[in-house]
Amino acid sequence: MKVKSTILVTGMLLLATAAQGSAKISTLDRMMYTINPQAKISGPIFQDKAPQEEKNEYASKLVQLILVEADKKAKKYLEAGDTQAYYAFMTLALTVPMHEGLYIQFRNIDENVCRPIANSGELIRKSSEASFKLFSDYLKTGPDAFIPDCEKMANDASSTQIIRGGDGSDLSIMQVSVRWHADDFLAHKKYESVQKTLEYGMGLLIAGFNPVYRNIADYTCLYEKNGFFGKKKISYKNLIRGIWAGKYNSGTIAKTCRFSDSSSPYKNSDANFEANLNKMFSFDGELAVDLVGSFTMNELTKNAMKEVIGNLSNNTDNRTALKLILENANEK
Amino acid sequence: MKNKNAIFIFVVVSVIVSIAKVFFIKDFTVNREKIIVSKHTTPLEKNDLKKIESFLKPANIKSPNWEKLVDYRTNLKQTINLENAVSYFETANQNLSDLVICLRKDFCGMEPASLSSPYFDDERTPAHLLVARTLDVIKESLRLHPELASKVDWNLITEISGLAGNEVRASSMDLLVSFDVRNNGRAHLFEIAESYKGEAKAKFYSKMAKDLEPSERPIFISTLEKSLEQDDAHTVISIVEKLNTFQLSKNEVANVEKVLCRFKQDDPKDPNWLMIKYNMSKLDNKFEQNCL
Repeated sequence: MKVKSTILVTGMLLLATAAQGSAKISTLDRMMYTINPQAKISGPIFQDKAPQEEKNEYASKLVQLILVEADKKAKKYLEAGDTQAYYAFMTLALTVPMHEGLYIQFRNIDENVCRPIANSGELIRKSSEASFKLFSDYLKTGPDAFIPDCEKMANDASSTQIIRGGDGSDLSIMQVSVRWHADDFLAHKKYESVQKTLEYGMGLLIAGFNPVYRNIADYTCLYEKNGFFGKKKISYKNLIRGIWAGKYNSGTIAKTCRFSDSSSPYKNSDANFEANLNKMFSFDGELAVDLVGSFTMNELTKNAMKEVIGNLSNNTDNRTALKLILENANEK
Repeated sequence: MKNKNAIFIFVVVSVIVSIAKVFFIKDFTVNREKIIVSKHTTPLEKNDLKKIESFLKPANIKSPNWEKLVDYRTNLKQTINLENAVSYFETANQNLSDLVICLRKDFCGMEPASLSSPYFDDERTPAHLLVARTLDVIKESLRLHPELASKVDWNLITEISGLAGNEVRASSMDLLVSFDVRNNGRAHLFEIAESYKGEAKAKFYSKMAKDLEPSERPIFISTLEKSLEQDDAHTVISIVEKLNTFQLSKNEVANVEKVLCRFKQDDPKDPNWLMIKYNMSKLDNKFEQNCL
C-alpha cells in the first residue's frame, strides 16, 4: 500500500479554494477510475456537489462503518481489559482510510469525467506490468467489467467512480494493491462494497498490530520515557505510526520502526501519515481531509470519535456513543 | 546592485509561481499523473505470472486447467469434480517442484513494483500464493480421488511446510495432516511446526487437535506445553486464543496453566498478561489464583 504523500501539499492549497460545500472538486477527477454504471456497489457514495450537510452525513456514516469494522477486530483487547490497545487500534483504523483514501471509496458526479489514461490501463501499465495484468484480468474483462474503457460509457451523463492510487495500482479507500491482494480482495470483488473493503483493510491492520504489540519489547521505537527517572512506557502514538509504516505500507513488521529513521527514503510518507494522525488527535467535531475539505460529524459520530481519541490520550474508557453505534450496527 | 536585482527577480518569479499554483492547481495535478507515468517508463518487474511461468516446463502449463489454477476467481470446490480431478491433480503435481525451486531461489523473481515502492511482503509474494494455490488443487483432487495420494511427492510437501509464509504453511500442513499415506506417523509434523510463529503455529495446533489419534495425544500435549513455555508472546497468545477448541482435559489445562504463569507481571495491567488471563478464564475461572 502506498501513501498518497504527494497530495498533501496540493491538499493544503485546495482546502482554501475548492471545498466550499457544493463545488466540484476537480482534483478528484484524476484520482479515480470510472466504474461500470451497472456494477453492484454498496456503501456510502461521496458527492462533491452535494450540500455540506449531506457531505457531513456521508462522512458520519462512513466513520460509523469504520468504527464497527475496527471494533470487530480489536474488541478482544477491550474484553481483556486492555483499553489502551483497543483505542489505539480504533484510532489507527480511523486514520488509515483518511490518509490512504481521503475517506472516499466511491464518488458520484453529474458529469462524465472518465479518464481514458486511467480506465484503459495505460496509467497502471506504465508503473507496473504485473499490476496491469491483474487489472486487465480482474477489472476489465467481460461485458460486465468493473472498469470499462471510457468509450463504452461515452454517452453517460454522470460518473460513478472508485478511488485509486496515483499510479493506478492501489484501489479503494484502503488503497489495497491489486498486485499483492489479487487472490482475495480482487478475486472476491471486495472492492464493490465499502464494508467488505474496510473489513479487509482492518484485517491487514490487525495482522500488523497483534505481532508487534505483543512483542513490543523488540521495538525500542515504540517506547517513550515516563519522566526523567521513570520507567519507559509504551507510546501508543508511535505504535500507530509503526503499524502503518511497517506491515501496512512496507508489507512487513520488520519495518515497523521505519518512521523513526531520519535517513529513511520514506520519511516524507511517514511524516504525512503523522500529520493525519495529529488531525485525529486534535479532533473536536470537524475533520479536514486533504483535497476533499472539512466534514462536521453528526453528534453521535463526533462523540464516538472524541471518546476513542480521548480514551487513548487520557487512558480512560468512556464509550457511551461508541457503544450506541456498535449496538445499532448489531441490530441491523 | 546585480545581486539586489537578482533577488528582486527571484522574489517576483516565486510569487508568480505561487499564485499560478493556486489558480491552476488542476494542471499541477494533471502533471502529477504524468510524472508518475514518465517516472516508470521501464517497469522494474514484468508480469508476475509470466515471470513465474518462465521457471516451469512449457508442456506443463499448456492445459486449460492451468489457466483455471492461476485464476483466483475460480472456486476450486465448485470447479474440480470426480471427472476432472485426475487431470487437475496432474497439472498441479507436475508444476509443484519447479514452483518450489524458484520460490526458494528468489521468490521466482518477484520484486517490488518500483524502486520507489516500499511494499514487499517476502512471506506472501505472488509466488507464495501460487504455491499455496497449487497445493489446494492437489488437496481438492485428493478429496475426490484419495488413491492419487500415492503419486504425491510427500517429501516435497514436507519441505514446503517448512518454508516461510502463512498460506504456504497452512496449505501444505492441510495435505500432510489429512492425506499423507506414508506409514511414518505424524510426529515429524510437530517437529516442523516447532519453527512456526504466531497464527501459523496456532492454526497448526488447532488443525491437529481436530484430527488427533489417541496415540498422538502425548506428543501433542508435550509440544504444546513446550511452545507455551518457550515461544514469544505473540505465538503464545495466538495459541491461547484457540485453546478452548483443543478439548483439553482438566489435568491438561492445569499443566498448561503452570507454564503460562510465566507471563504474570508485577503490573496487573501488563497487556500480554491481561490477554492470557482473559482467554484462560474461558477454560478455568480460577486461573489467576492458580498463578499466585
